[in-house]
Amino acid sequence: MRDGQGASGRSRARFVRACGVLPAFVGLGALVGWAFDLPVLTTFGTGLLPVAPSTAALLLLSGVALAGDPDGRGPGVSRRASASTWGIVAVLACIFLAAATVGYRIEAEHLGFPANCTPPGPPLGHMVPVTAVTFLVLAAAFLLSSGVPAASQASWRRRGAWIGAWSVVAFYLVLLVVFSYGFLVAVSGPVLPPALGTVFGFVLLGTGLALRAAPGAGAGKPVPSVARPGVPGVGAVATVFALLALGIVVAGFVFFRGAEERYRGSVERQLEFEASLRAEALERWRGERLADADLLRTNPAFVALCRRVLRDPPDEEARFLLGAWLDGLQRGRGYLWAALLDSQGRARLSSPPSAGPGEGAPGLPFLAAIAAGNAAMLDFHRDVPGGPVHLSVMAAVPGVEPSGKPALVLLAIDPSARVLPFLAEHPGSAGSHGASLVRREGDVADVFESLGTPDGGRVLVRRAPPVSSDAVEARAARGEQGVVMGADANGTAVLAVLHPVRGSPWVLVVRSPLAEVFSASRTRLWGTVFVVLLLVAGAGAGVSALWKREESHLLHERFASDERFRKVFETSPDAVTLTRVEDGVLVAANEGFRRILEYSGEEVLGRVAAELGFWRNPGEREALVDELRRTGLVENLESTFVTRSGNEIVCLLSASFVELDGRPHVLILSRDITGRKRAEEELRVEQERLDLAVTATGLGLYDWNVRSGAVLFGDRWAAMFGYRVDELAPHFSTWLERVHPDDLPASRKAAEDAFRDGTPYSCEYRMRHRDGSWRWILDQGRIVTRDEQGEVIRFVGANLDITERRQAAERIRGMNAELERRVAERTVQLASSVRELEAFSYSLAHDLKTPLRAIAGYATLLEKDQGARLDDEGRSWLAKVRSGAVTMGQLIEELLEYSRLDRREMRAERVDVDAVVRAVVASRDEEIRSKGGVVRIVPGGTQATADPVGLELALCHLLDNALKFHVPGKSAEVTVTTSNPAGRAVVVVRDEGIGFDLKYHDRIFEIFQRLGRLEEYPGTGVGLALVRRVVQRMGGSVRAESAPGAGATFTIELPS
Amino acid sequence: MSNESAFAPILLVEDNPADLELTLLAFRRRRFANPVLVARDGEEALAFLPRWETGEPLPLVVLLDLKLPKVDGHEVLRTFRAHPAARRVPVVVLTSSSEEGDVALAYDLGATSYLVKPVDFEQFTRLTALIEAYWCGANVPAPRPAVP
Repeated sequence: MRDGQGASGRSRARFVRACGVLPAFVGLGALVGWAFDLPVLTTFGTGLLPVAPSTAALLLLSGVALAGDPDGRGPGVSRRASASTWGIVAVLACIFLAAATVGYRIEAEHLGFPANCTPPGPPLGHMVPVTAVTFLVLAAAFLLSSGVPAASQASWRRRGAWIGAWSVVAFYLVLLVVFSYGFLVAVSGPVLPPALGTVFGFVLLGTGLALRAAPGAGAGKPVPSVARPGVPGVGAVATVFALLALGIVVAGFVFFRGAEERYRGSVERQLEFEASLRAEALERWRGERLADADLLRTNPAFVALCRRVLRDPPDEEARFLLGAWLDGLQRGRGYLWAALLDSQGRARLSSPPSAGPGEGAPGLPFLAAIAAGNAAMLDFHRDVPGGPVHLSVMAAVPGVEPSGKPALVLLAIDPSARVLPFLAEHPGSAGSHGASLVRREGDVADVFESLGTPDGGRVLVRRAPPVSSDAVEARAARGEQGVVMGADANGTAVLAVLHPVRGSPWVLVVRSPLAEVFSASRTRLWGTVFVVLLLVAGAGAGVSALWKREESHLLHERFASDERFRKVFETSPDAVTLTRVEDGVLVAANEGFRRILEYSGEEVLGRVAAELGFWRNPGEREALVDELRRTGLVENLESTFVTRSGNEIVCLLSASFVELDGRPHVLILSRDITGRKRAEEELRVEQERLDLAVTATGLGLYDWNVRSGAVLFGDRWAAMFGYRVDELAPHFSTWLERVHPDDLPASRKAAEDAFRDGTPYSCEYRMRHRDGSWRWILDQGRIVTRDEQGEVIRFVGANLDITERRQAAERIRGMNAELERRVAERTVQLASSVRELEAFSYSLAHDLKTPLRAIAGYATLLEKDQGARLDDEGRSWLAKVRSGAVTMGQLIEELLEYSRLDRREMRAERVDVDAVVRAVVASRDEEIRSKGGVVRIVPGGTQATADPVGLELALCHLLDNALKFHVPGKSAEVTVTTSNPAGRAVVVVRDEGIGFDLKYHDRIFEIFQRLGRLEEYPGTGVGLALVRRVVQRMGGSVRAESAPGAGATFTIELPS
Repeated sequence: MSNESAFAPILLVEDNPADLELTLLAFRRRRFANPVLVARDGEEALAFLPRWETGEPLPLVVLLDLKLPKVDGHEVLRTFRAHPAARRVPVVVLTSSSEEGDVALAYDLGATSYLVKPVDFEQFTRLTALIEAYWCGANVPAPRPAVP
C-alpha cells in the first residue's frame, strides 16, 4: 500500500462520518420539532410532509452508527456498538414495515409526541413502507460491508453493499427531483412518499455507506493526480456533466411546472365557473322566495282577508278564503309550511293546519325584519334545540290586527328538499366536485353540505369547524374568497373555490379532491421524471464517451507530434502499441499493429485493450502486466494473439514503461513469429522423418562435390563397408577403389544418363567390403546443384546394402526353375499315366470282354446242344458259368462307365430337372410295368445347373436302385420329387422297399459295396458309387436316409 | 470258298477264333443262307480288295472288328472307304468296345453302323439275326461302280 492511500482513506472516513452526522442532525431536529411543536423542523417547509417521530429516531440512530464506524476499521467497541445499532434499526424497520403493510398504525411511533400536525393527506406521524424498506437496505449495506477484510476487494458482500447503497442514493435523488417538480402532486398519490427530511437523510446515509463499501475502500487504487495540460480532468468533465444534468432537470422542472400551471388553471377555472353558476342559482332561488312573501304582503285582497280573520275569528268565509291562499302557496311553491301568525307569534291559520316549525318563537332578527317592513329570510335555524334545521321566509302584514299591530306571514322551507339540490354534485361537471354552504356563526363556521347515504340518496349535513381552523370552509367563513387549496372540513385535501352568495350570509364552497385534480399531473410528473432521468443518463454516457475519445485523441496527437518517437514507432515492422496504465486504454497503435492484427486505428484507439480480445489467453496478458510491474521490463515473451479475422498468430512480446504526458504508459512491441515458428516446426518434423527413415532403412548417405571430387560420406555409408567414417578419405577415389570393376561401366553409364537428363540416378553394383567380400549396393541419388553452364556441381545419394536381398532373389529364381522343371516332369508322367489308363480301359473293353463272351457263348451252346447229355447238376453248373460270365461282362461295362466319368467333361448348363426325370422314368417304363411297380413324379418346376447326361445317369441308377430293392412279394413304389429350395435344386427319390441300416450310409456309396445278397438282389455295387461320383462332379451332393424295412430316400442336391 | 453261291456273301473280319466260331455258329443257328467270307486279320481283309477289282462280287456287308492284328480295324475301314470298289459297301463295326472315342472314330472313318458284341450268347444270336434281316434282306445292296 502506498503512502497516499492512507491519507485518502482517512479523508474518505471523514467524509463518511459527515454523511452519518448530518442525517443524525436531521433526525434530532425533527424530534425537537415534534417535542416543541415546531412544524418547520419536521417538514422542512410549510405544506410539506413531516418526518415521523419514528423515522426521525431511526435516522438519528443510523446516522450516529455510521459516524461511529465510518470505515470498518475503528476500535472494536465502537465497531460492535455501530453494528448493534444498525441491527436495532433493521429490527424496528421490520416492525414498522409489517405494521404499515397490514394498515395498522402503531401509536408508539409518535414516541409520546402529540401528532397534531394536520396538513392535507392521511394520518401523519407514521413511517411509510418505503422508508422502512430503505432502512432495511441501508442496514444490510452497513452490515455487509463490515468485517470484510480490506484485501478482498471484490468480495460479493462489499459489492452487494455498494450496489444497495448507491441504489438508495439514486432512488432518493430521483425522489428529490420529483418533490422539486411538484410536491403536492407527488403527495396526493395513493402511495405516500417519505418526508423531505427523510429523503435528505437517506441520500446522505446512502452516499456514506456507498463510500464505505466502495471496492477501493481500504485498499484503494492508485489514482495518479498528475496535471495534464490540454486534457480535460475528471473534475471538469464532472462539472460539464453536472451542468448538463442540472440543465436537464431544470428544463424538466420548467416543462412540468408550465404544464401543471396550465392544467391547474383550467381546473380552477372550471371550479370557479361551477361555483358562480351555483351561487347565481342560489341567489335567484332566494329572491324568488322573498318575492313570494312580498307578494302576499302587498296583495290588498290577501291583507283584507288577514284582517278579517284576525279581527273576526269566527268569519268562516274569510278563514276559508285565506286558507285557500295559504294552501295554494304551500302546495304550489313547495313550502314546508305556510302560516299566518299574529303578533304574538301564534299561528292563526296554516297549511297544513298542524303546528308548524316556526310557530311561537320568532327570534329577534325576525322581528327586526318585520320592523323593516320587508320580507326577510330567517336563515338556517332550529326551532327547538336538536330539532330539524329550517329556512323560513317572513313578511309583516301591517295593520291587520285589531290592535293595529302587524301580523306575520311565514313560509317555512325544508332545506333538505329545497337547498340540497344546489349543493348536490353537478351532473355535468367532470370529477366529483362537491359544494357546501358556509356561514359564520360566532366562533364556528356553519357548514352545510350534501352527503351521500348508503342507500344512494343524499342528505344535508351540518358541520361546525372552528373559524380559526385551516379547513377551507373555515377560511370561507373568515371571508376569504377565490381559489384556495387545503383540507376541507372532512380532512380531504381539496382544491376549492370560495364564492359568496350575494344578499345572504352564505359563502358557497365548491371543491374538488386534490387526488383527483392531480391524478393526471401525477402521470405527467413521473413521465417527465423518467424522461429527465433518461436524458441525464444519456448525457452522462455521452460526456464520458466524448471525454475518453477526446482524451485519447489528444494524447495520440501529442504523441504523434513527437517526431523522432513517432518515426520509430510508425516505421517499425512490428506491432507497437502504447497503453495507458491506469485504465488500460490503447492510446496508439502503429501500422505494424494494424497489419499484423488486422484492426484499423479507429477501431482500437481509445478502447480498453483487454476488451478487444486479441489475447487468445488473457492469462498471458496478466503475466505480462505482472512481470512488467515486478521488473519494469519484459523481453521476448511468447504469446498467442487472435487477429480480427480469427487467425491465431504467435508473437514475441517486449514491453516496458514509458512516461507520456507525465503519466505511465506501457509500450509493447509484438513481433509476428508465426511463420518462423511454423518453418521451425516443419524443419524439425522433416529432420525427424529423415532420421527415422535413415535409421530404419539403413541408408548410407553421401554428398559428392562433383567438381572437386570431395565426398562427404555418412556414418552408415562407412559402416556398410566395415569402416568408421574417419578412416575413409573424403574423396571420390574412396568409392572408385572399392567398386567392382565389372560393374563400373554400368554405374558410369547410369550416372552419365542422370547428369545428361537430370533424371534420378539409380544403379546396382558390387563394392568391396573391408573383409574382402563383395556387397551388392543399391545406389540412388540426384543432382542438387548445377552451375550456369549446366555442369553438375553437387550430387547427393543414398546407398543401401542389398546383398541379402539379391541372394534371396537368386535363391528364389533357382527354386522357381527347379519347380518348373519338376512340374514339366510330372506333367509328362501324368500324361503317360493318362495314356496308360486309356489303354487299360481299352484292353478292358476288348480283351477282357472277349474271353467272357467265349465262356458265355460256349456255355450257352453246350447247354443248348449238349444239354441232353448232361445230368441236372451238370446243367446247373453250366448255367452258373454262363451267368457268371454275363455278370462279369456287366461289371466290366459299369466299371468302364465309372472310369469314363472322370475322363468325360462335365458341362454346366440350365437343365429342366422335371423333364430329365420324366425321360428317365419313361426309359424304364417297360421294366416298371413288367414288375408291376408304380413310379410317381411330383414336379416342382425345378431348374438346375448341371450336366444333362450326368444327371440322367445319376437318376437312372437311383431309379434302378429304388425299383430293385422292393420288398419281396410286393411291387415297387417309387416317388420322385423335385424342388428348388434356397438356391438349390433337389431331387428326392423315395421307395417303399427294404431299406437299409443307416450305419452303412457311407458304404453304400462306395464302389463294389453291396448290402444285399447277390442271389436276392443282383448287382455289381457300382451304381450308387457312380451316382455319388457324377453328382459330385456336377458340384452337388447325394445322401440317403433309411431304416431297415422302412424304405429308403435318396436326395440329390445340385446348384440351382 | 465257293463262288457259285446264289447269295451275295458277307465279309466277317474277326481275329479271335472263339468269337469267329461263335459268330459263325450264331449265323448258322439263324439258318443264314449267304456265304460268309472270313478275314482273320486286317491284312487278309485288305487282300479282298484286288479280288473285288477283278470282278468278284462285292459283299452285302462287312462285319469289322476293330482290334485286329497287323492292320487294325480303323485302318481297314479307312482303306475300304478310300477304295473305288469297296467304298459303297456298308461296314458294320462289330466290336467289344463301347468307348466313345472308338465309336466316334469309326463313324468319322465312314462306318455304316456300330454294334457292341453282347457277352450273352442269346443276345448275340438276336443281334446276328437283326444284321441278317437288315443287311441281307431289307437293304438294297450297293451296286458295283461303273468303271472299275
